[in-house]
Amino acid sequence: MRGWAFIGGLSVLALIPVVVKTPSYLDVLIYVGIYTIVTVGLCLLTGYAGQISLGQAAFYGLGAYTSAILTVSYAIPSGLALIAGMLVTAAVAYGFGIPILKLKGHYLAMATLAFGIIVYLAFVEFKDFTGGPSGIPGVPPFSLFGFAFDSDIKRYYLTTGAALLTLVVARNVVNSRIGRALRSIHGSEVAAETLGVDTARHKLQVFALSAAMASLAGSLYAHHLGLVSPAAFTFVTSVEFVVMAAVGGLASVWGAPFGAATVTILTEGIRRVMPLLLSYASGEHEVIAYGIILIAIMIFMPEGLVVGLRASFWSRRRARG
Amino acid sequence: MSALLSAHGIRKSFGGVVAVADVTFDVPSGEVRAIIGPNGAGKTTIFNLITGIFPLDGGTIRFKDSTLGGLSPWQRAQRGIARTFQNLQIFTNMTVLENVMVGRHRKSRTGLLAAAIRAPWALREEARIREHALACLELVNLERRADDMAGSLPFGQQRLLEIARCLATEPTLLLLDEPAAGLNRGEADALGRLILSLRQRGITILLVEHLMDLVMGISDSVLVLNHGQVLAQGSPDAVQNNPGVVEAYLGAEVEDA
Repeated sequence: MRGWAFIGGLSVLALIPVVVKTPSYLDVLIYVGIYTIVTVGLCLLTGYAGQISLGQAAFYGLGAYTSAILTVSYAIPSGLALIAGMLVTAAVAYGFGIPILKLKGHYLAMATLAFGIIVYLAFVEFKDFTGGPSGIPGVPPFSLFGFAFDSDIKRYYLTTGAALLTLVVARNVVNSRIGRALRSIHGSEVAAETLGVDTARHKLQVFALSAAMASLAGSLYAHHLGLVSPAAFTFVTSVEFVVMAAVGGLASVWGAPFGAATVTILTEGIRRVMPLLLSYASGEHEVIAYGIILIAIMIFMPEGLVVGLRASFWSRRRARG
Repeated sequence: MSALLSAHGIRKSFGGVVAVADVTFDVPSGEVRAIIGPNGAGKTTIFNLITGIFPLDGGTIRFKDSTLGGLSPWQRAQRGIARTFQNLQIFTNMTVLENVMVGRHRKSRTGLLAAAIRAPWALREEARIREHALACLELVNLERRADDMAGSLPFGQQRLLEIARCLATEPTLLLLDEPAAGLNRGEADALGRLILSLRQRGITILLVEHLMDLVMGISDSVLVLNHGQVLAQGSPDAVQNNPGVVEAYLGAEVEDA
């Protein structure tokens, strides 16, 4: 039953580009894949280990910039650059996590927020490396063993495949001794410690893992867009990632794709529909509609879409039969 | 043979309030040792000092002939000290069985990478963890609730779950912080039998408890604290007949009741 659902899901994902021909739709789906990867990392960090990050865009940006700099300025193969980005970003998260993961709750949120701002400013200011505010253009398409992902369809399969791989890795971690240790930290840090769980080490590990996932997504983003610039890695982006994780539901990594898809498609959809409804609609109006929809989701499905929809599905079935 | 745990001149104060003034005691291997005393006598603080949740202000605590100074709580757990909590610290976000499986953390190795790729040895270890955790649940008769969420257990069973979780760590020394609080008569009797059976398995037990029937029934020796200082220690009989104890503690309790 589960196996069939999985195969069914895979087939749908594989067939989407055959049906969806509009380039801009495919572009949206590519972003859904990219954001899913970041959101899965946040689910592990926040949903499982109970640690907040308002600086995830910084890790996303570090991955994007590492890939862009290494491929554009040093002509290093994109696969290697992507792995280098993940390693560098994980190392940065680890080093930065040693002092700040001692903080809890709001204080941790503040520290990660500040970290995000510092990294953003570094992107803007270290002009020799990062190209300053205008960024680095001309990032080549991702290529692996001579095969270039040089069209949207190819990139759709690349990002969707990477997102699925990330989900599988996350699921494996969750259903293991490590996953239990993370949840025990969330449940009661003091009890976890007295049962022999090195909570500081596990928090650092999951922080670095979530950063590496964000970095992977950032690299894919850089190769897809062909351009990196600081504007894509602001505090607002970090908040959007948190929103995706919350909308999908933090209790399960499977919420991540739903959260990423809902937020991305909603943003795009509203951008297209609003001008038809209101002739004077501008960017601000979109944000209002977007905000209202998100508030509604959080009010009616506080545990996220996956839990909320499953619950309403079962209650309806019970009512019928 | 020296004591399993020995505290020497331990002190702790919070702000200006002295919680533990200058306490010295030994816990010999294989004993059930109770710590009693009125509320605020410093009993739970001593547990927090032994498990490393608070650092000592002075004195030393030695366990298995080496000092615990400077070790974090998880390192002390690795050395074989486990504890329960007076105000329960159940992982309510996990099932009953998963709570106990966390206790196997100390005795298992699987790292992040092996877990991520579902390495065969990691899966085998996972199966062993589950098996051992189930066995620990059976010891406290909770195996039928294994797959329920831990928060859904009644209070008394949550206390037992904390004990099962400790047993999964295979402790040498088990600290029980008011395990009978909130239990009914029958549950408290069962708890007493459980504690004695744990001692029979070679686990040394340090017990903080207010329920005097239980304390006097199962303890090999009793330490009486008052205002952060040792008032008396000895066998249950000797302690009960100690005039100072009767006046400071037991007497007051009897009048209250």
